[in-house]
Amino acid sequence: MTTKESSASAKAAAARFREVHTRVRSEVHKAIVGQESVIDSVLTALFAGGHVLLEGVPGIGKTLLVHSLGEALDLKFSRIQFTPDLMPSDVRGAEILVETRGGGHELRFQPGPIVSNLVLADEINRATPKTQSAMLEAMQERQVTIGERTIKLEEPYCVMATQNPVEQEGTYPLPEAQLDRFLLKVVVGYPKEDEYGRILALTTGIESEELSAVSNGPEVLEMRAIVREVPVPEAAQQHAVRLVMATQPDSEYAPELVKQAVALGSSPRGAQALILAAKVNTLLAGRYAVAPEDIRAVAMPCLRHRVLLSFQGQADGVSADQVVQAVLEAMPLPGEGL
Amino acid sequence: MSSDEPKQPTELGTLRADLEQLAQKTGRGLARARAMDALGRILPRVMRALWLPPFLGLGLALVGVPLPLGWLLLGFVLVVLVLVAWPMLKHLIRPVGREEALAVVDQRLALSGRLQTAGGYLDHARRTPFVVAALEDACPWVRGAQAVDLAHPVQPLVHARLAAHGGRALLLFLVMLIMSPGPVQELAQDALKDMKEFFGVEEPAPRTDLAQVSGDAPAVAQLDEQEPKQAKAAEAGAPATDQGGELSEQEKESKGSTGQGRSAEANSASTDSSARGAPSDQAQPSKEPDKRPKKGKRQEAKPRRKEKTRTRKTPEMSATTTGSGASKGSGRNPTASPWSSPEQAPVPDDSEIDEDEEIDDDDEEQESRGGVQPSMRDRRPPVSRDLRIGFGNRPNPDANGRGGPSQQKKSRGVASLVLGVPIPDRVKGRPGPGRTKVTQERVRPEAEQAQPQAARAGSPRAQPEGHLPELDLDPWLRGMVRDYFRRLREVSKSSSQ
Repeated sequence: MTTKESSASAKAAAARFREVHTRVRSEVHKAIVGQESVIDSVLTALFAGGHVLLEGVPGIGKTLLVHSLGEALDLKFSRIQFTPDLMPSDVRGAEILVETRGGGHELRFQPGPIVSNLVLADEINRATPKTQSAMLEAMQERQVTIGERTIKLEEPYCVMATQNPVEQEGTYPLPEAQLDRFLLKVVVGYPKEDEYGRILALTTGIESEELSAVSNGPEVLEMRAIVREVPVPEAAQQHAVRLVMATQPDSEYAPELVKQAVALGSSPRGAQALILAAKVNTLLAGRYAVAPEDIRAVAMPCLRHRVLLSFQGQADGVSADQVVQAVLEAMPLPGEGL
Repeated sequence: MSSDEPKQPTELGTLRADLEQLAQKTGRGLARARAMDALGRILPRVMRALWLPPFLGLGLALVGVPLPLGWLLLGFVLVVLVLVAWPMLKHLIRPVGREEALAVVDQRLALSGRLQTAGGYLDHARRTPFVVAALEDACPWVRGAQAVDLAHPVQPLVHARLAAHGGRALLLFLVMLIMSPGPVQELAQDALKDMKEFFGVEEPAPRTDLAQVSGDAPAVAQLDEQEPKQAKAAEAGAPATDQGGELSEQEKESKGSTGQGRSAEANSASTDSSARGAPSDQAQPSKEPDKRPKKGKRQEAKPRRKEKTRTRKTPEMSATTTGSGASKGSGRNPTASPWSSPEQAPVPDDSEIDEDEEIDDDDEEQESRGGVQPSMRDRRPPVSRDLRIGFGNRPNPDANGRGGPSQQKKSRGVASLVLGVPIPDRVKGRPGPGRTKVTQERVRPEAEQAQPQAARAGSPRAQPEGHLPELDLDPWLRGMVRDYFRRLREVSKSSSQ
């Protein structure tokens, strides 16, 4: 293959990625009004091969977004409503005793809702940490172990969890280990004024949008492969590493706010998330190699849930978003300020 | 540069050369901008620092040390060279790397890292399709960047402030030139030489006067200036000393330690203070800063101070301090006790000073009194006036038979009615101890050998217990116990018989 041909194939792959992304996005937009950045972030997590945690007050369409995405992608979709009495076996599945035709009994494995392609973990912070931890293996290893049985989960696999930041009574904040497994944490805000009319028309009238499957599992896997091919130059990689290190209070790159208000910074998983999400951003921007700007564009959703505030930071009312913003300000782009 | 792709694509083969050219061009501009930036940062500091050499020269001139003009100019040049030229040169000679230069272009022209990517992947051995696409993508942007003249922002020089600093330095330099004895002395010597040649006066014999002893250059200069006058006076047959009847200030200062050089006012003042202090001792010795010897004299005064310190305990030295307690308003007659009484001699409280403590007293207060009144009473706490020998059943530690009730007794009055802890009416310590230097000796802990104690069985007592105080029993109980033991012995005797 000549240089021209090889570059043409890359350009075609990038174009195809943008086309599929636009197609899915448009379909989801039929049901979800506004929230462009949220939809982009969810699709970024899906195409980067990660999981996403949606946080927002009730009634702003978090569950509807994930549900619509499931319909648009023609993937096996399951929903788990997390409640305080939910048990790990309710999530993973269990061996149940069933009657055979001959009148005998046997133990048969009944897979739980986690064994699916697109899992909506609704109000994930309402379940106990024990049940929340049942998701860990599935999210990281893409497999579920029940007793001696290990089930490989079918790809594409994506967990989209929602949580409510206000009703904290009777909830269990997600442990750091599980938070770290989400590629992005997206904060869903209120819709804009001009979007309310369309939302009300869609939900209170006879008008309703029927979503159709515009993509499928193999296509999502193909998109993921394209994302993985995007090269990351040294400058961009170094910028990602320094951003992650700047969230660690003992690091030389840490700004003053991090040193004061952060107990635990991001792990290397944060750098992985930055690079993967930045690759999607690069393709959507029409480029073929990751730029430091792409890293910065995805830094907030990638790092905000990986920063654990110290007691002093919480007492001072510092938020994780403020910390990440301080990190971004303290770490200029290469060539900036020279 | 707009974000639309330029229409004319650049070939991948020329990309390397284009990138190098762009990096070099940007690097040169960047180095110049950095040098100017450094100049902009440093120049205000330099201008502020420019007044330092004339200031130093002025200070030296005031002290009396001449500073040649050449040295001053050299100082200026050195300041400028060190503070300005080197930082600029450092930026100019340090090469700007290719990655750095391309990053700057990327950033300034908002190229989203395309040039950095191309620069990084040009030498990449394994070019994936995406890498090739990235290189091709960078080509038109490189050509576009070459056409743009990047303006590197430079910190502007604040001219008004710089001028103000420079003007201040110049003014100071002029003042220094006027006041500095160095250049003036040179001019004066030249003028003197011309006058001598004109009048045909011979060189006077070398003198060993005060100015030569003290080695003060200004004094020499002044004496040299007096030479023509003296020559004229010699011609007129008048004694030359009449012209210089009053000693110069430098000579006075050189005699200041012995009191010879004191002015009449100073002498009268010191006499007054001694007259005030000796008979009544009522007034506190007031500080007289104008009478205080200058700093230059301190070095000479130090050996004398040491002598004073050594002989402080002798009664003769404390003669002027005998009435020290009177200044507190007690009205006590200083003649109540003889001046040679050991009570009056100041005894430092050695118990309060650790062995390793080293105290350097500042003798400024002693000097301010002109040696008339040693400040020994400042070192002593006010004496207690408890006339009694004891305090209740206990001996009064403060009682020395010289005053009223002690602090403990005072606290029984109104102070005892106030809820709280009675506060003594005086603070123990030495008022105004002056500068104190405490040296603590740090001793490294040393391991010591200890004989381990072996456990052993306790032997019965071989000797009597000794005298044990009797229990203070009631008489009836004492009788009962005595009867009990008497009967016990009788029973034991009878049983043994």
